Amino acid sequence: MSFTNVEFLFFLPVVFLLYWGGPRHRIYQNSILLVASYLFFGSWHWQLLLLIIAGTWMDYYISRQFGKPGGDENHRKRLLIVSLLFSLGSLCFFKYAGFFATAANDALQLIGIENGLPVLKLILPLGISYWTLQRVGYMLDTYWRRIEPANSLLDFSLFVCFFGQVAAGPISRASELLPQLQKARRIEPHWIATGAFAFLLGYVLKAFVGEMLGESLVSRAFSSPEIYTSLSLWLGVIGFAGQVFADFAGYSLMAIGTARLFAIELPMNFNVPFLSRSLPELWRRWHITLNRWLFEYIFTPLTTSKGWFRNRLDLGMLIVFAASGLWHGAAWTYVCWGLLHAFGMIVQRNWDMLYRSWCRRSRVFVTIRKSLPYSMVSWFLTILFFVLTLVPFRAADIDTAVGYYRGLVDSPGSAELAISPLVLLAFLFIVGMHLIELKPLNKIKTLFYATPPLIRGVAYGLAVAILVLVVPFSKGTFIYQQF
Amino acid sequence: MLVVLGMALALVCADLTLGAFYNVPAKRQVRDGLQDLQRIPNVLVVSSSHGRSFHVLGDTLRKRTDDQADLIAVALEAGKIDAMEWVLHNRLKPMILDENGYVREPLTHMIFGITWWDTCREEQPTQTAHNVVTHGWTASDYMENFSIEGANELNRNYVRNLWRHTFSASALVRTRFAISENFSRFTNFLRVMLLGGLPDDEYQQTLDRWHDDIDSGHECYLSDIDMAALDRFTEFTRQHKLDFTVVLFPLKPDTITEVGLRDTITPFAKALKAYGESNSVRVVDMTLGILDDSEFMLDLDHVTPSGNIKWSEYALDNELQFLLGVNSTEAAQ
Amino acid sequence: MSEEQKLRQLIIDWLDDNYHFGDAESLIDGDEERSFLQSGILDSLGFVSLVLFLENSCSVSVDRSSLSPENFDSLGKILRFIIPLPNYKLG
Repeated sequence: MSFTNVEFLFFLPVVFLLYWGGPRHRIYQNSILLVASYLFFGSWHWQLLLLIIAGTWMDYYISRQFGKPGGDENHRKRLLIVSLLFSLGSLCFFKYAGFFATAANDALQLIGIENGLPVLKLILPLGISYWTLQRVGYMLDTYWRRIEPANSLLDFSLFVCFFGQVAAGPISRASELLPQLQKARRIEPHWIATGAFAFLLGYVLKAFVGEMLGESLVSRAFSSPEIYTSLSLWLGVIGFAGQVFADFAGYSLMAIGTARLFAIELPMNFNVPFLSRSLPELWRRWHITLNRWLFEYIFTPLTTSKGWFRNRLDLGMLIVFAASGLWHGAAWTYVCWGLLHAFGMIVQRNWDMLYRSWCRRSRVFVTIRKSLPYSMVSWFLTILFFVLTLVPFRAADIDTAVGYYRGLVDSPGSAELAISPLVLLAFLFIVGMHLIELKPLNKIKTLFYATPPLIRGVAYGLAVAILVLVVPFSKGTFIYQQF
Repeated sequence: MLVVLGMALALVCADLTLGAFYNVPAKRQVRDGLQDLQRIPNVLVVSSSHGRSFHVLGDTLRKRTDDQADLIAVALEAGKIDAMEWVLHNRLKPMILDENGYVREPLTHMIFGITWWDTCREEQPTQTAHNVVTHGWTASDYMENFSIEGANELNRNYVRNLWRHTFSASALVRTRFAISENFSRFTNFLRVMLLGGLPDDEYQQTLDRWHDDIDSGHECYLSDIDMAALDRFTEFTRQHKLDFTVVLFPLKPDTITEVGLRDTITPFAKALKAYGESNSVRVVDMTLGILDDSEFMLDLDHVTPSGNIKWSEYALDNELQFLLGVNSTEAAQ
Repeated sequence: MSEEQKLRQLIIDWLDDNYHFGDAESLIDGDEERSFLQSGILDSLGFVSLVLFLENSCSVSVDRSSLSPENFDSLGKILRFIIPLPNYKLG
């Protein structure tokens, strides 16, 4: 079950009532959430619950060892390796076994060996890419003694598998989430109000905006790019940027909203990314929790290490983005997407260094950098680059992606994608969401929050009424859950 | 607190306003049929959504016989003989048979209302039909399936229907489902509500779809699964000495092209007639010639209220006249 | 000038030089505890560059366990963390 499935409409209220209806005690609250989480996970494939439970128990035990004062460094290191081998090993096994076996077979074929390795077709455990990273982050934090290990298996089990985030993040830092789970939570009106609001906003984004753009533009353009005009293909890929955003930011908001209903705060995952004026800024605003994970646990340790990698920032970025690509999916199209972004980041960093050297020579360059035209141009280039890299992200294979790129310049097709009023509304929703965060328009938000609570309530009520009528129960698949 | 109050207030008002403005007609489903079966009728009809027309036939029959003859119709949305047989076997049998396995009195007749479409099984033979899940399953069927397969697209149909039923008091929820079923899109719903009808091209599109479906109907009709289910149905009535009639229900004349008539409608009726002859089942073909185009709804499939009355009166005057006498001693023998 | 003031100036200069071209002071806006990451003063990339810069210019070595926003996410945090480190020496 997923947040937009109808089962969730029964599941959530029942868990909510049990959670707040019982004693306000950590053990009670966490037990309810843990049972609910295992049920939520088990509703996909209960057999794989064993994988998550085994990993949880092992990491709990190992992290307790890390927490002991003193201790043999080599022993600690060995334990860490065991833990990482299990977590990352199961991730690789489920996610990449097929990909690497196919790649190896292709290579073997070159030297004349046919079907050298069996290619397994495995079910991907729900959210494995997300909870693996969250757990690995916790293990590294405890190994490096940045945080105290959890002292209750119950708290830790919930930290690993909380149903609000198990399917697709946001990926929390242990220091953010564990302390919240280690004490009893109180119900307060603001949790419920902001939670319900985030959930509803997310629902609209995902179930209406995302599905609308996906169905009317993206799936058509990408399924047979050759029949569409260049303009329509541009529309298709821009629509895809909107779809991925709406789909995933919507899902993240629903996760954040769900967690708040239980007085738990999850980290923000998207922060109006389409306002970004540089690639580093984009990655601070887009899928924030994944990118900060990659930078905190791969990039920073590598580039600040005492060894060869020290200060090799470009190489660090190449590794981070190749990892990001591979994390998104076991396919060459994702690797290609990751490498394109690594390239973009490296170009951007070197450009910034060059520009800084000009700034040191003359303040005029500083003024230019802070001017509106510079902002506009850098915004345009950033978004254009991001949108264009989405072609391999969406295309079935590299050939299709190349064909799509050609079509963007010159397409043999003559069919046009129509923008229906609802598609336009979906686009405007995304644009509106971004514009309202700009300073001049931010006042509207402040004004809205300044209206009497009763009026605000009525506005929410009407929005819900319209949603009940308009938004379909989700039919489509959630793009980011498959990662 | 005030926010929640305002929200609740707005929702209730919106619900009441909508309820006053647009009253969604309740649709008869299996659930309603089962409820009616608290009393055992003379005639039991099992049908697809066209069972709603048979429900009107029941009203007409009771009126004409001064409540001497009773008919209950069980309507399974989206039909298919295999699915309808599932409902008969799993839901109706426990109600119409007594503890010794005999048919309860005064049930003597069974009618099966179908069209060619009900013999086109879509799902994989091993999978339960989606409409069985939605309208036929009970909570224990669902839990059993959920415990094995977890939540999936198929068993989700049950939960969705449960949701709909739980909130059926709300006009918002009723309208929501009516929109997805009758108008396919929200904008179409607005058009019908505000402008009184769909533009011609939308109508033409729906009509074209029907033409395509019926023209190519012969590719899927008389499927083995559905015909085997019909055999089981027939066997059930024979075993329990029930008078069995298969009614081929009216279709909108507009939806049938020459090709459709030649390739699908006529051969289907012929095949069913032949089935009736070799199995001693009464087959009544009412597909064409009784209702005209204006007596079908916007979906070009279901019959309007006035059309239902016209058809019922016609049926009781002609092919189904024997129903008027089902409660006489003669018929009971 | 105290050690703290010297280091503070060094960081401000570095931020100006590399990121904010004379605006660093106004971005910090007198709030020594303002979060670098949240207010956009520094991103993860800048974070790494700053750590490397501080290691070089203050002759200190930052341990893995200390490499976290808790120690580097604001001017105040950096000052409190770096100065007490062994071998700390500016210049």
